[in-house]
Amino acid sequence: MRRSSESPREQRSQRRGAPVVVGSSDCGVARLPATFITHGLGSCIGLCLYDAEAGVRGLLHILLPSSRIDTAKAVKSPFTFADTGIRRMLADMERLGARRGHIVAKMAGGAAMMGCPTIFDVGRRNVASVRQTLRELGVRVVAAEVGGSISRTMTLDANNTMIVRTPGRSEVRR
Amino acid sequence: MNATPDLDAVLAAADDLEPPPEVLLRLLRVASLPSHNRRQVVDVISSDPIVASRVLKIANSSFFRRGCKISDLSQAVGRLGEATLTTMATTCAARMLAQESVPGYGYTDSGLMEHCQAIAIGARLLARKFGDIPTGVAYTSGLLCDVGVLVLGHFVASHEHELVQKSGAFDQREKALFGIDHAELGGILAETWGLPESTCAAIRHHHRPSEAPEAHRTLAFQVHIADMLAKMSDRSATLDGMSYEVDEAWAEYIPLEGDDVQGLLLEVCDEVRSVRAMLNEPTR
Repeated sequence: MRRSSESPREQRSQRRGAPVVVGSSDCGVARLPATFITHGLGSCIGLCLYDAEAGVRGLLHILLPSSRIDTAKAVKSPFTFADTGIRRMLADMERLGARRGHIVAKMAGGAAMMGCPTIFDVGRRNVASVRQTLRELGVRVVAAEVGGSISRTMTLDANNTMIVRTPGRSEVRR
Repeated sequence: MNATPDLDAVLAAADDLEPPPEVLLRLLRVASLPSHNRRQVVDVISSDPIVASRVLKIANSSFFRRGCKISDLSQAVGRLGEATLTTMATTCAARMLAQESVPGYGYTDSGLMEHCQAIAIGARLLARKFGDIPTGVAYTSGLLCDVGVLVLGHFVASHEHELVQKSGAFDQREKALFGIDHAELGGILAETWGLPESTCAAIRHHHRPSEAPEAHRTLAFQVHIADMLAKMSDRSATLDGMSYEVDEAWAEYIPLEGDDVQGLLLEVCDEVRSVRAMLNEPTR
């Protein structure tokens, strides 16, 4: 397991007022006023979940769509995969007081090379798997900046706004 | 708007790029020999005190340390294994070439170095699984395939808006604007430095491997696909992002199927993490 909910890292970042940096195959979950950032979303997905009422939020950086390809890896590192990562993240949020029916999702990433053959299009499969897993778990996606051939940096600010930045382009706020 | 630079200005800037350290060039040449032995690797590393001390430090780190402290490189080879030693030494030497941040493309905090490590690791995995290219050749070709970025980055920084406005693959946009793309420029640099012909060809054609000479095409495809894997999992959001084309002939040279790409992506990410831990470099 990578980390339990609201770890010392999140608590330290909260005290400093700096965003918690979430790396690939990792997840951060905390109460307000914590904010989160993840860099370099290519085919990966950055997924923000929050319960505005409870003030509990988090960001998950997903590498691959399904734990089916390496179940042992999924036990050691559940946040690598959409199916296991989202379930673990929700459990962590609920431990901090979030309620499933109040949680909504915002997502970014899932890019692919230009004219990408299906076998290389991990981004599209990541998007589909995230949407399907969230549907199964009853979580609504309220904003998505996905696809294309661009790489992205994603932030979740204190107002639950998802900010997506790509070099050379205007930032997107959703 | 900045005036568009002509090709001569880009090539003049390439001439000004400080060449890589001699120890790196010698390591690359040795690693490229299919029949190289560990004595040759040790001899090259011994010739550079900085790289030699770094390698010894790694061999004595908690990651590798089993038993007593070692103080000579022959023992380090025994502890690390020759392939790991070559990886460590080449990467240590190549770090001298990579800059902390690269203007234009958007790499920050050694992001380009991490990107190149991922390509090198991916190319070596592909070489191990498919074809008969020596893994050292695949590794070093991947490690250096984006060396042209170090030169072209300065021009990209001044023409960011024009590059974003253009359509098509990013290497084609570079070529349209500067008269040359970063892959071709990297190939020219590699030739100037006297790197092996196969490595020069793989660098020059890593975005369009079908255009590589037949003898080096498999290596060029290995670097092409490894670059794609690295872009999928990069830690930096860059100006070019994933705006490159997949060469349609990939299956003739690298017979991937089913979930192979996802498995490779997982292996590359794990190995990058492991190499960076060994080198005591943070992974964001």
